Amino acid sequence: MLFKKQQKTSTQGEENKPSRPKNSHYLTAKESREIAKSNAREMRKYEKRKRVKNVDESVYTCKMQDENNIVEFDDLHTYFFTDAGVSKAVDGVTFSIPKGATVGVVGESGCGKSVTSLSLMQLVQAPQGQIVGGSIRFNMGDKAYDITKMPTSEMRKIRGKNIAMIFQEPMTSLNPVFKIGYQLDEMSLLHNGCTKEEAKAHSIEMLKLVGIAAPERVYDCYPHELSGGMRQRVMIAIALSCDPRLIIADEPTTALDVTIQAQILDLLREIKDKIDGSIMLITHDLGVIAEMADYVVVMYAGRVIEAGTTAEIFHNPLHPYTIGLQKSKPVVKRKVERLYNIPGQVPNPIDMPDFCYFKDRCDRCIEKCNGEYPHFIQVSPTHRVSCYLYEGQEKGGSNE
Amino acid sequence: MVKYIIKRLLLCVLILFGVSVILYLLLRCVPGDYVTNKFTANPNVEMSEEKLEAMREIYGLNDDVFTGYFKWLFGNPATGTKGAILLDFGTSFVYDAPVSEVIADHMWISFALTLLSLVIYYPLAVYLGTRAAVKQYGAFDYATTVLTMVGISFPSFFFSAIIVKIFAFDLGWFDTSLGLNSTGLINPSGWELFTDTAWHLVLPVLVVVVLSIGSVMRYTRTNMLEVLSADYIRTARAKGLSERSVVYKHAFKNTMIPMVTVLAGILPGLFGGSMILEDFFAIDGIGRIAYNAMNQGDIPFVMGYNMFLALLTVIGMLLTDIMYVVVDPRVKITN
Ligand SMILES: Nc1ncnc2c1ncn2[C@@H]1O[C@H](COP(=O)(O)OP(=O)(O)O)[C@@H](O)[C@H]1O
Ligand code: SF4
Ligand SMILES: [Mg+2]
Repeated sequence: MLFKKQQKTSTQGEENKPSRPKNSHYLTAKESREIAKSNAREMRKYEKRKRVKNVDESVYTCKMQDENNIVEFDDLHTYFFTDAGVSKAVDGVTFSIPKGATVGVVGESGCGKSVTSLSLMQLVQAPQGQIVGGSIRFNMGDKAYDITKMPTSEMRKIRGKNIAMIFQEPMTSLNPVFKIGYQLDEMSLLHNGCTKEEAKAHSIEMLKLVGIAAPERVYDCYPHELSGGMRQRVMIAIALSCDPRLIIADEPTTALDVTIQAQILDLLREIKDKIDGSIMLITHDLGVIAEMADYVVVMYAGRVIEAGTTAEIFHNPLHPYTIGLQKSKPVVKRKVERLYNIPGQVPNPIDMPDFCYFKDRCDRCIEKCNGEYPHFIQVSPTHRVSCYLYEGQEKGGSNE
Repeated sequence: MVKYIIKRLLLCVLILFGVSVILYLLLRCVPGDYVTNKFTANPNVEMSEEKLEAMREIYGLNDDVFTGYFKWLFGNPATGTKGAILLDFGTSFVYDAPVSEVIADHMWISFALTLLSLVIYYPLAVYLGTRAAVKQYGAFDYATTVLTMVGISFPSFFFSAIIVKIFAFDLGWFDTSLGLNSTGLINPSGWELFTDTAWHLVLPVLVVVVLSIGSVMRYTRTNMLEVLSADYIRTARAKGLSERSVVYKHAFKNTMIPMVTVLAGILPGLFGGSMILEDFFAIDGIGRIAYNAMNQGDIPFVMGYNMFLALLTVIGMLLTDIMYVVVDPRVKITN
């Protein structure tokens, strides 16, 4: 009995796991061998699929559900085959990014935001990370591709050219041993097939576009000679270089200090108008979302738990988690005693419960919450939430 | 930069001084001196105790440790040496010639042997290490790991013995008499002599290659793996670059920084030779010479040789540091 009690305190939030309630932290040698074996098998299977050459285009061509969308994630599952077991980092994510819109993806760290965006680029860390189910439809204009079915060789033509990415850490995202100019030129040399002179002219123009005052000088600099904000501008210049239809910005300002953050956000907004593309903006900062996004997707433990327009999410948050996030956001000009903090922690992605993942932290649980994971409830044509509290409030028909 | 180098050189002098003190102490602690070794081991030579004493006096073996070191460092008017401080290391007991001359005479053969091996194993190790890292946990990775580990763990005399047994005795491809030349050559032309020497170098070079390749390969692999997991590699992939450019351009240039600096550090050491290997293959390199001198208690030579090695080591360290400044754009020397 004593042992059990101790265990409870040490594995908070994991104690409700159905399959391995006891000694959940320990794997026997046999279990761990079995995990290793099945991991190796699975990883080999998925790696092989990606390496196939000369795949007929029809295999990965698909049709967009809505031609006005640039990307549609449809029940995406991305798993990591780790030594401790299969970690379901993204477990059934569905949302779309309309053309010309900015979609904000929020959630606390570790909820699978980055993995979702990396799946879209086929950049999930292989071989342990693999897309195991669902589809990601990408609108190429005249046709649409399902990225989950594309071989890597084809995907390369889309990376950088049609979808570009800005990462969180400007300090480490640029190669330290190549000059800025080289790293910028590389983009247009690769995708536009121009000459070296043309590439340089284009790069300098890009540096000007992102608000760098001395583009010729920066062109000849190494990354370490620039400040964090400058490097992030360079990253944006690289991303913009080939006129992508979609820019993924994965926490582009998290690593920067506040004044620089504001500048970079302004810049992102400015260029979005100029290039007429879409932005998938990942952040854990609701303030950034409020300023930038047209639509918001709230993620929790690898799933979307609520999605809607920015106005809907901010003025009418429904999911207890979204409400908690709003309360935990610091507001300038309003004095708060103490920042609200959602108690408890995210369940372990290796062994997810089969009821609502938020239940252990939820203060509004009802009887039904013990049942299976809640389905989406479409409360308005654009607003949906996955929570039992809103059952019977469907409007505008659900398509989930 | 110049100021930095001068500062480092002064530090080197200090290091060398410390090394020489410790070395001399150790050498004088070794039981059995040169005179005893030489004259009492041979039963045909009857030496009286007085005579031995006199010999010891001549060789300076009767001085206490402090005086002996002082004479070594600052010279001994009695024998006309100027002292190590003026780069005069005295006369070798065994070879009966100035220490520096003996070293200069034999270091080039050692250098040729190790340089030849280096030219072969270093690029090969970098190539294999890179391949192994790219295919981490693949068949190629496991195979190279096992083979190189075997190479690292073999003692050199043991591996040399196996190699000689297989290739010289059993297969008969090489001369079993060792040395650098065949014994039966009569009036060889220059070309014949050259090919003969080259053929004799094959086995020793092979041994050095096999024994040295493992550590460099592991080092490359570790470096490459670290670089491949860096954020800027993800950026390079996100640009749409091919895996080949990602690995052999973006990652490789970063991996090469430590590899080139390590190489710069290794270079001077090539003159140091290898005692066991040269002795085994009967190559008259500096390693073998030093080995013999050591066995016979030739204090001036062993001191000189070890100071030579220490000097090579500090030069190697200095070159490593300078190389960092040259190849890594992030490293700049301030003040
Ligand atoms: N390379 C990896 N190996 C194993 N697990 C990973 C890896 N990358 C991410 N994960 C897991 O995926 C989950 C989601 O991570 P991520 O998408 O980076 O979160 P975030 O929302 O903060 O961007 C995390 O729980 C993390 O443990
Ligand atoms: S479904 Fe139940 S447990 Fe889950 S968030 Fe809604 S009320 Fe809370
Ligand atoms: Mg992240």
